[in-house]
Amino acid sequence: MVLDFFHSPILVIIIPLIGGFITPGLSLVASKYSLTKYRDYIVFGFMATTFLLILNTAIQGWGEIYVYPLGGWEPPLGISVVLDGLGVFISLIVGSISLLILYYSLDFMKDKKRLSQFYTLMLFLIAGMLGVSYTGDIFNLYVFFEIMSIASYALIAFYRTSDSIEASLKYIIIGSLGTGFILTGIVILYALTGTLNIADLAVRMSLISSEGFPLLSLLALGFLIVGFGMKVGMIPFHAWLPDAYQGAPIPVTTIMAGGTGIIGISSLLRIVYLIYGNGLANNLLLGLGLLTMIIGALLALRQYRLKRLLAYSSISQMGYVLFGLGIGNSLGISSGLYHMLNKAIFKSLLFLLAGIIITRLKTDNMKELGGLAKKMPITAVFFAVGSLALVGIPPFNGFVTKAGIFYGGMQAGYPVLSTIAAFSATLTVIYIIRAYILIFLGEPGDRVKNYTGQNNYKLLLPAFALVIACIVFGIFPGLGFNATEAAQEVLLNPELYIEAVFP
Amino acid sequence: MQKKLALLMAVMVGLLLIVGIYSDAPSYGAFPDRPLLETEDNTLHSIGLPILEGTPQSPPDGLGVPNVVTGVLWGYRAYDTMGEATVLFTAVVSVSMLGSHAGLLSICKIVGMTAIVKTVASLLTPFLFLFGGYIIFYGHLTPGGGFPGGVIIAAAMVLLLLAYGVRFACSKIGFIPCELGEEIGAIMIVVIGIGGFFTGTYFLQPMLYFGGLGDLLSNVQMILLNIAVGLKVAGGMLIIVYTLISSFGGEV
Amino acid sequence: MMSLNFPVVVLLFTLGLYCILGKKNIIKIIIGLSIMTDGVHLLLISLGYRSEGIAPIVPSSMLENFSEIAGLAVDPVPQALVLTSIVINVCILALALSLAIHKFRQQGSTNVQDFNNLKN
Repeated sequence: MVLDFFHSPILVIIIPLIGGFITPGLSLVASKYSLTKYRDYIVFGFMATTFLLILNTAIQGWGEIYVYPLGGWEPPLGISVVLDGLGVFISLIVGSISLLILYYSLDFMKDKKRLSQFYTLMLFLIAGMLGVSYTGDIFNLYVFFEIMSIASYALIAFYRTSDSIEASLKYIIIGSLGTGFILTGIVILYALTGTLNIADLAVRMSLISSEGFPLLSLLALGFLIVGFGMKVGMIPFHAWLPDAYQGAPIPVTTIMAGGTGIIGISSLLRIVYLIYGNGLANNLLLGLGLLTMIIGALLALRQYRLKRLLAYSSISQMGYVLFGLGIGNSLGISSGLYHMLNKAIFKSLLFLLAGIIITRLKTDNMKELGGLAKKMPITAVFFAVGSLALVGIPPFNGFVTKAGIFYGGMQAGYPVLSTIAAFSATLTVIYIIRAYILIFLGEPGDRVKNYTGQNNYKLLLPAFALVIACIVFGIFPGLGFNATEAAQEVLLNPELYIEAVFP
Repeated sequence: MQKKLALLMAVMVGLLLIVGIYSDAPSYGAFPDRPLLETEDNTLHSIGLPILEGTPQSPPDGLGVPNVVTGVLWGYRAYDTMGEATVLFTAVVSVSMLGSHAGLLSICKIVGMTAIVKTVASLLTPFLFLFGGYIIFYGHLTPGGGFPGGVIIAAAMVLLLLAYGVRFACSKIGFIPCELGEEIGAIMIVVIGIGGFFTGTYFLQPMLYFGGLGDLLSNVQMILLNIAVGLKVAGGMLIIVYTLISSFGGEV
Repeated sequence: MMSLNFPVVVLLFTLGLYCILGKKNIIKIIIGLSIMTDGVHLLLISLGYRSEGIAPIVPSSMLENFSEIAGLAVDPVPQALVLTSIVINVCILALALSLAIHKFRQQGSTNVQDFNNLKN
């Protein structure tokens, strides 16, 4: 565990990349000697190494901002990896969720074809997410965002059925439009300031905006918000998200719900708070967040497909995060960031359980389910924990952050908006309880009556880990707030970031 | 109705963009000045200016290569270029995942063209390979580099494919050599990057200089990186072409 | 001198955006994506232009006093960025087209309004 801290931030990104590069060759060899099982273990080993490195980096670099200039080129000229509180926090979430999901897919995907491509793309997806969260250069952020996006476009189409190809096609069109907008925003920022380093951009942007922001810089902000909004599924641009989540294999859906959405929001945050400063885009984020949480919940009310319902619920939870981050005071931002962690935990839990239900019963239509509680008691209990956490019932983790967001909104002087947000929490209660009743209680459907099967504990283990996380973060909310403290400090005081990059 | 709405939105975005560009962006040809960054005591320039000054200087102040664009690609922004190579790798893996190759190759209908085309293609192909190799090896001295060179080599193979049919091309360079080339290229980039840990201090740190500015061996690391990317791009592009032809129908 | 670069950038961007938002044919939408990003690339490359500038490569006649290049050449950074971005967009294009071909094989249509299997 004691590894030199000096290189470990870059190794976090390099190791999954190397894993991705060698997996196709490894698979060729493995399938020749029918050893594909060991190929899967090697891939998991790469992910486990990455996770240990993330932990190592997080422990040793906790609370400070570490700059690693790649190739030895000093920050404004070259690219540098900047390890700040936000990056560490996001990489911890992404790393742990990815580790659990790869463990889950070892068993979940084991009899599928084309697994070599699946694992390769999965490792690239993870490398892209980690690269985005660690980078200190805005064009490099775009490059790694594209690695992540292309891998997820392809993974959605993994089953190659009509549904999944259609979902992937929708996502690739809207997603590429989004990344095109992000590129436009970055190009406009380069036009204005002549630099690409985020800290340097912040310095130069504050010079430019000393007498008010010029029109072009606002246009760049607009392009960036719309672009990242398309990638995370904010409400006016959400059309691809339920389709993509429905068409994708469950591990991919989970990693998208728990990982890529968070990456999109954190990149947006970095740009909005570090470059433009606190206060410019807050009202926009607040409004979009409110719209997203309410319309997402309303749309979730009328779904009968389990994955689709969870997808709309995911949109709605993203709305809470945006709302919390848009409040702009320290309580709001730290609750919003903490809610990202909680959302990743309980959404991943629910999606993993949905995956178990769907593979067992071969359907995700909730009308055909019902009465599953007797047949699958452990799944039912875990699902209940996930639902309660999602709603925000006190012993579980959702409560603290939702309460924090509402109090933060009250403190910052948005009482009406906070009340509306509280109202939308009741919508959450309605849709998740309805789903729970339809699936686990009531009269069993034909499929459920004929179902006989054993619990697969390999699949339940990651879910169990997430249940534990739900309870731990619910009982000790201080853990999460400690973790978000450094991130919140960086976002509210860009000077810290700038001083670290230009000592 | 939808079309009119789309036109309206597109025109509105376009109008905003053109007003913004003409009011705030530097005017065309104004490099290295940024009009909004001029203050009394000092003027901040685009980062391109210090890079232009620094790159041809002998190491360790610069990269010691005359081609500044390659210097930016493999020096200052080598990490981006590695990311770009990864994007290509991802796309190749994705495309080959969507089409199941190899098995369907037998039903392909491309059987080649007339004798004139075949003769011209067979005469041209060696020179195209040579040209691609030249572009790769001299990428740090003259315009070019791994990406264009790799694409030229892939295009030479596509010329053979069109002239002689897909089975002939596959018998010359099949899927397995392409995949190997792609993988070796990708791993080479990372290995050279990790080499920086030992010879320099940082990942992708430049090393291995021999000779002065303008010599072929002035920056050996950059030649190796260009070769790696050339292999990767040639292999990757060929895999994409083969897969699109073989699994999505063979009529051209 | 009036240059056409920026108007052409905006024209390409607008046309591409209109293609994506307004067209029904999936192939045309993908073409629109390509046109839009090409507009952005043109904007990026135009930003680095210096009047009467030369390519940022030290010519062999200037190897002795290479520091003059800083006063003559255009900005090298956007050129490298555009190279990166073009490769990325080629990759997206290849993937999108192969998905579109796949969809056409399955459904026999390129009209996006027919792609509504998932709406139930």
